[in-house]
Amino acid sequence: MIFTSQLLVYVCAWSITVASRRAGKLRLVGQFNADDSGRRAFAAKLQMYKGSPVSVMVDSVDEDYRLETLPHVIGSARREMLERRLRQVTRNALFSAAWPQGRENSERRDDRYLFISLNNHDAARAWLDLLHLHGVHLAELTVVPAVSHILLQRLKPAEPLVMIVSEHSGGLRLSYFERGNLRFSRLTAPESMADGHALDIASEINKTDLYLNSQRLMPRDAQLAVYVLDPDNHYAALCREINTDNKNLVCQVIGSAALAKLAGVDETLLQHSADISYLAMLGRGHTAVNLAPPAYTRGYAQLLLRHNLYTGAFAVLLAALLVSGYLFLRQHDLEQQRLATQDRIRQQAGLYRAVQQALPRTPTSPHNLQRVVETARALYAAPQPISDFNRISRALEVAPDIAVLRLHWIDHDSADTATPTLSIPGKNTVPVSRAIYFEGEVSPFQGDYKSALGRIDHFISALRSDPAVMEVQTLALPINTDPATTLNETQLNSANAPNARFKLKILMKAAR
Amino acid sequence: MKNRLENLKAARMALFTLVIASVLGFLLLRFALQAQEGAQQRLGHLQIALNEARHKLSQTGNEKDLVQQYLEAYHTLQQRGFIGPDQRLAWRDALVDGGRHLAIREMKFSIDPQQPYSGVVPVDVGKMALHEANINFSARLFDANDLAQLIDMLAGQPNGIFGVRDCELKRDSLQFDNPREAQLQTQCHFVWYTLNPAGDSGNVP
Repeated sequence: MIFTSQLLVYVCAWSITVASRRAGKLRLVGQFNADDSGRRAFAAKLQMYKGSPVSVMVDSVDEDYRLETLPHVIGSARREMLERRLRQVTRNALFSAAWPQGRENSERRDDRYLFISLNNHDAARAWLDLLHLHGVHLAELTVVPAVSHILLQRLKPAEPLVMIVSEHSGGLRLSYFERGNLRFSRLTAPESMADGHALDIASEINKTDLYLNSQRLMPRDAQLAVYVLDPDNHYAALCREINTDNKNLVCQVIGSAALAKLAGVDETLLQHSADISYLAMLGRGHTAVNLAPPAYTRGYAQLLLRHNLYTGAFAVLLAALLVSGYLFLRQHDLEQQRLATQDRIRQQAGLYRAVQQALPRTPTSPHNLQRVVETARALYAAPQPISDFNRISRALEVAPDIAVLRLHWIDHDSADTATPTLSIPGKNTVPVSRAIYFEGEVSPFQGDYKSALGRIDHFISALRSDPAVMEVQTLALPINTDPATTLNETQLNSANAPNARFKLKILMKAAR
Repeated sequence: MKNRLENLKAARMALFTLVIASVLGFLLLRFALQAQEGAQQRLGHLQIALNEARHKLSQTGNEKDLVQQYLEAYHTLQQRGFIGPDQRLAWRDALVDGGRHLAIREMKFSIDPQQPYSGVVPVDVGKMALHEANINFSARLFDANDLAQLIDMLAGQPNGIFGVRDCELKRDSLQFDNPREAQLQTQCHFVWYTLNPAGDSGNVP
C-alpha cells in the first residue's frame, strides 16, 4: 500500500496529533483539540483520506498493565486461554491485548504475557467513531509504550535495564524495559509538570526509579540506562545533573539529529510537534501489540485482502509479461538465425550447382555410376562351372581308373552346413560356398573292393590337394564299410557284374 | 470463518481480477512458448538441411573422382546391354544360334519372367533396380567342351550380363557304342542380368 495515504493519529485526553504517510514520506496534517471545533476540523481533513488505513496510538493515564505467567501451550488452546484470561484481567475492556514477553527461566518455562487494556476509552472512542464515519479503516490501535519498544529495538542498547523518557502532547511518558520487555510505563499529566521543565523531568525520572526499586520491578542497586528524547535539543544539561545526583542512573540524551535518524524523518519535521517522532515509527509494519478488536479492523482486513489480491494479479501479469517478453526475444533471435541459415543454405546450393556444372555430363549420379560398375564387375567375376569342371578333370588325370557319370555344379550349396545367404539388391551379404556333386565309377572293376576303395581315396586326395577345394565329402561308396552296419552282398553272374560306383560332394572355396 | 467469507465477498472484484490476470498470463505464456518452440523447430530443420548441403558440397570432389573413374565403364556397360530393358528376344536368338553352331541336340529352354535379383553375389545398387531373367536349359551334347563353348558364346553377347546358377552333366553310359550319338545330357540354370537406373536424375548441368 505504498501509494495509498496512511493516516497516523496520536490520541491523548485533550487533543490528537495527525500525520500522514504517502510513498514513505511523512507529513504533519495537524493537531486537533478534543472539542467540537477540533472534531469538525478533523472531519474536514478526513474527506481526502476516505478508504485509507489509519494507525492510532493512544497515550492515556487509563492504560492498565498486568504481567502474568501462563502455562506454555500452542495453537488454538493458547488462543482460547489468552482470550479467556484477557477477559478476566481486563474485565471485558473493549480495547485490550496480550503482549508476549518471552518465557520464564523456571523448569516449566511458562509464558510471560503483559495484558494491556484501556480502562477508559472515551477519549479515543470519539475519534475512532469519527474515523469510521468517514470511511477511514482502522489498521491498528496501540499504546505509546509499544512504540517506545520499536524505538528501543532501533536503539539496540547494550544495557539490560532501560528507561525511555519522551515528551508528548499528553504529557511525559516513562517506559521501563528489562531486556527488551516492557515491565512498567507511566504518563505524568501536564499539570504535574511545568511545561517540560528539565528539573521536573529529572524529578519524574528519579521518582520512577524509586518506584521501580520499591516495587522490586528491577534489581536493587542495579544500573538503569535512561534515554531522554530531546527533539528540541533543550536538555543537554539534564543528564549531567541526573548522573551526578543518582549513581544508579546512566542518562543519555537523544538529540534531534539522532532521533530523526532513528525515527526515519527529516530533522526539521521534529520541531513541528512533540508527537511526530513516535508517529513516524507508527504504522510501519505491525507494532508489537494491537488493542483494536477485530470488529474495528474488519474494514482494514478487507482493504488489505483487496490490496494483496490486486498486487498478486499485477505480479502474475508482470511475471507473465516478463517471461513472455524473454520468449518473444528468443523467438526473434531464432528467426534471425533461421534467416541467416537460409542464406547459408542458398550459398551452399549455389556453390554445389557451380561445381556440378563443372563436372562432365553423366547419365546418373556419380555414386550410381560407381554402384553400377561395381555391380557389373561383381557379376562378371561370379564363378562359372567350367573352371570348376576343369579342376575335376585335373584330378582325374592322376586317377585314370575313375570314370565320370554325373557332374552337378551349383553356385551356392543349399545343403551346405554353412547356411547360404541370398543376396538382396542393395545389401551386402557374406560369400557362400559353391558345390559340385560328383558321381563316378571305378573302371575297370573286377570285384576287388579294397583296391577300388584305394583308388577312390587316391582320387579324393588329388581333389583335396587343389587349393580351390575347401572340402570333399563322401556321400556314397561302392561298399558299406561302416562297422556299425550290416554288410549285405549277393554273388551275381557274369552278365550282371558288380560295379564300384560312388558319390562325392566337393565344396569349393569362395571366390575372393 | 464468517469473517473470512465476508472479507472474500468484499474482495470479489479483486479476486476476479486475479483470476482474469492468471488466465491472461497463462495464455500469454502459452502463446509465447509455442511461438518460441515453433521457431526452434523451424531452425532445427534448416540446420539439418544446411548440414546436408555442406556434406553434399564436401562430397563434390569425391564425385568428380567417381565420374572420372567410372563414367567410361558405365558407357561400356550401356553398350553391352547391361543397363537397359529386358532383351529376351536377343537372348533367345543367342541360345538358338549357339545351339546351331555347336550342333547341340534336343535343345530345350524356357526364359522365365523378369524378376528382382536373387543371386548370391553381393551387390549394392542403391535405389536402382537390378533384374534377372532365369533360363532353364537342357540339351544333349557330344562333348563337355560344347557346354564350355556355349557358355562362352552366351557370356560374350552384348545383351546384359550372363551368369550360371547351376549346371548338370550326365553321361548316359560308359560304353561308347555310337560316336554319332550325343551321350552327354546337360541341364543348366542360366541367368541374364539387366539393370534399370529409373528414378535417378543423374548429373545434368
